[in-house]
Amino acid sequence: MDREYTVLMDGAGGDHNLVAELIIIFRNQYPDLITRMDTAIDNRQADELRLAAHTLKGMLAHFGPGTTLYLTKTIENLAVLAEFAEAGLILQKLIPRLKRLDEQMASWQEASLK
Amino acid sequence: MNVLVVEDDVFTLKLVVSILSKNAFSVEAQATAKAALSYLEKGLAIDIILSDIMMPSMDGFTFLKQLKATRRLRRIPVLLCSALRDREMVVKGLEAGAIDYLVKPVKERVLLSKMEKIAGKVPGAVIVAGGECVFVDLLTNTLKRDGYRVLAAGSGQQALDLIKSHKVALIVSDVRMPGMDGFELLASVKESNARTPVILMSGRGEFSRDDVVAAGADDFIPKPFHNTQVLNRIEAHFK
Repeated sequence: MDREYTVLMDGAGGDHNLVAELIIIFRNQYPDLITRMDTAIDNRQADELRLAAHTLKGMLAHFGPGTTLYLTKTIENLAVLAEFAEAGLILQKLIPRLKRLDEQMASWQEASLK
Repeated sequence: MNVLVVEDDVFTLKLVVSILSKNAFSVEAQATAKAALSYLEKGLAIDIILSDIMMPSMDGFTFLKQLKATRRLRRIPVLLCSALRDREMVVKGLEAGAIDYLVKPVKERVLLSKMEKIAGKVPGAVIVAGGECVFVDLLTNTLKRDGYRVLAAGSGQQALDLIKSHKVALIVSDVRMPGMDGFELLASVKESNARTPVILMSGRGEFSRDDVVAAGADDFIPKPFHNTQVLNRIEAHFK
């Protein structure tokens, strides 16, 4: 299994059912958080951008450290500084990484069904 | 042990609620601090609050300050839980009255270790024992308004039964009660739970402080009592 899966499983105390539910929550939630960050950047809403990035960061942290988490933290920090243009650039780098993580999760789900 | 979890992130909420529920905690969840305050206004018994910090409309620090400023809620221990890991945030939380600080991501081992430690520190209930409903109700309501968990007993025997089934921090008893009176209750308590303090109350002139202290009571409050006086004396036993 991937490192991210192992880290999540460890945090959940080895509960496979709980991890399966958390994966479903993450896969349902992250597209909405991308939209919220994107909209907040367009509308220059620092608080909303910070909150959406913070929520995404909170979820990602459960999968362990890595570039995806780092990029999300960076957007949260840029929101505090109201650096919307820079945050937009980082968001474009973050999106493919989140999609890759989503694909990984889909494969975890498939593996758990076998 | 009843826990209120205040968390807007559904992922963390699911994780925390699942871990706590599997480990004998009874969990209620609210997605915002405002919803949590409305929930607490209903007067339901909550032993521990676990709250996120960064939440929409009211953050965890403001929520904590409101709890500490509300007499009935100020004694509930609050564990702050956040991805904000700077030392400054931790200190700010502890200075605002949080009992501890949990850094996200939540790990089962760490969460349970902190919660069990806090649960061990949650003070027991105050038993108010008396034969007169007016006395018991008045004192019970006074203590509840001040944030104590209170168990009312209409007799000495009822008080003893409550001690067997609850964690009890203090007993406040009228001397005159039907059946087992206050002195008999005091003797039974000291025989089996010597460390549980007992405060006896009686009408002025009936008994003196010396009488009840000689019998083994930890304190004496004459009736009629003044709310502030009773609260101060009870607070002293909790310290």
